[in-house]
Amino acid sequence: MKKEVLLVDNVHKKIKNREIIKGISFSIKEGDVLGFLGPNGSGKSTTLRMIVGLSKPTEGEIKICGHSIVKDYVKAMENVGCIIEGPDLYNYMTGWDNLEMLAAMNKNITKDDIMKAAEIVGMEKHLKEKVGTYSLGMKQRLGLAQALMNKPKLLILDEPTNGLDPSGINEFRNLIKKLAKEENIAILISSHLMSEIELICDNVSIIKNGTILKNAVVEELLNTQEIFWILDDNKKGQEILKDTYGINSKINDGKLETAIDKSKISDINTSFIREGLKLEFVDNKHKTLEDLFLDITEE
Amino acid sequence: MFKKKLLLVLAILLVEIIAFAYGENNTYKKTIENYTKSQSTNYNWNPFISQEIQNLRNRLNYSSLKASDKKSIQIQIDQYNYDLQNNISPLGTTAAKFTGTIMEQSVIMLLPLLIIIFAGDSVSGEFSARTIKVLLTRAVPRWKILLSKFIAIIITSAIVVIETAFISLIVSKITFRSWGLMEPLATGFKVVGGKIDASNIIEIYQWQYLLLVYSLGFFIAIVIASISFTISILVKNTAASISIMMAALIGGSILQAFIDDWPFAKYFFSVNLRLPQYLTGSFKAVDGMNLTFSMTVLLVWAIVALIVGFYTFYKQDVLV
Repeated sequence: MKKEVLLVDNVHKKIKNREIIKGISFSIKEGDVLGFLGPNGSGKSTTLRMIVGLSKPTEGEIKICGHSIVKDYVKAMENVGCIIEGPDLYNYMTGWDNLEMLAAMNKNITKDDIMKAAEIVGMEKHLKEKVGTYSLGMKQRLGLAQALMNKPKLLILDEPTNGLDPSGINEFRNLIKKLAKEENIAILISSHLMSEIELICDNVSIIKNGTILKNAVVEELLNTQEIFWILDDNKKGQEILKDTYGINSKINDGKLETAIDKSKISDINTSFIREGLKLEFVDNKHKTLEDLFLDITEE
Repeated sequence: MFKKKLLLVLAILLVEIIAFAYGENNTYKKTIENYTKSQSTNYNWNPFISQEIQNLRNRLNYSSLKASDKKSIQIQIDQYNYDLQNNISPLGTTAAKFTGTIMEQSVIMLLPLLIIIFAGDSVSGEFSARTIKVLLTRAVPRWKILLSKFIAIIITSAIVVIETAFISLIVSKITFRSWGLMEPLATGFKVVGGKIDASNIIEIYQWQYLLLVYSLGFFIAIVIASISFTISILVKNTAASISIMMAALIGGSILQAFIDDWPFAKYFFSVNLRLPQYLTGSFKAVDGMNLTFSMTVLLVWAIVALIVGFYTFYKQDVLV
């Protein structure tokens, strides 16, 4: 049984009498990567801020490794590494000075830990330069090093790939997977980039207007049961489906579409051919997370 | 960043103190020159002071004089008389005297401004650079982070006060030659019924007086730092926080003019910054205002400010 690292339970947040978060719940287990998706202004960032204690929930509970972030802040935060809305570090200090100063505020972070974190993100060669001279990508890496040096059990990353180039994004993706699988870290990533979440995350939570619309496993979400055929006579195909299998289908854009169990496909194909239909194409209807996201959030 | 600011403060102090020393030396020389010309004798401060006392007495007869000014002048005359009797020279300038004067003059404006340079952006700077997020996502309670920031400001204030003393001593030693640290000085004046009460007067050495004045300077620095620190927490904007503090300081100088007719004004912190002047009795006497009163007012302001600051910082949602 995997341990639960983060629990968000029925959390509400009111700012100036406007309810921004209307009771959201989700959890992350160790080694899992949860993608947090939502349009701008949906409450994503507010939720992340509440998880790391930058702001307090008006109602509900947030627990990290069993410690309440409100009542037991220090114990809860000992398990957390985070970047909230961009890697804002001290521009007039060198990379190393930044890391060392922040490390000094936690207990038990050795120079080795700092160096290791810098190596993981590939910043060890730039530590003597001032952060003000870094590119956005380098700042992101240093921000990540800062989040990793206390060996967290929960890593919270808000828009982590902003400013990274394609090879940087790829490296980042591999790094996140490695951290989750090898170090068993629970990771929460918020992003607008659906393709990114699709590739990195095991689970997604889709949030809009302060409510969670869907908590789901990415694979199940994408693995729809929808199939389509392209036949020389779609109308006839539709009749066959109805008469022989009792399946309702629709014709859309020259495609015969329906939702069935995959195991039946070869059987149906044989029937089509037996009835003299020409089978031009058959495939799973591919859905991307982006389609799903748009479907869900626009409802 | 911190080093740059410290250098800036050092430069400001150096320029102001050198200008002040030059001015003071100039005035002193001119005074002696005029005296020598008009009297065709060598300068001797005894008759000069007697003359000064006479001038002050004449001023007392002006009908347009305000009651509080009258009191101040009377006190000044009493002090000169006391100086004459005890052979304490009030005019000759030494390094010690100059250094004391610098702090006496700085406490109302220059010293607070230098402190505000540091305290005014202590917290708001973290907000505008958005670095407050990394600070407040450590496994450290918020009050500890704020306390360490405040302690840093206190240490900086001490450095600024010591820097002021150090630069003044060096510059004035070069300008006026003599140290004068062992020169006796009268303090412990009390105002009873608008008259100076010399019964509790004590003679101390200049260096002791310097220690006293610079301690008061440090006290004022801490009070200003506390208030400025809290404003920086409340407004989260460096320019705004520094402007508010400067407005308060300048406002205090303006309020000073109305203090006779509007007794409530004496509870405003920037009206109570002239602490060192209570020691020498050279202040504008207002009923009920004395060293204890002013220090209490300042202390209350500082404590209330810190409570408000810490509470706000502890409770607020960080949304940058």
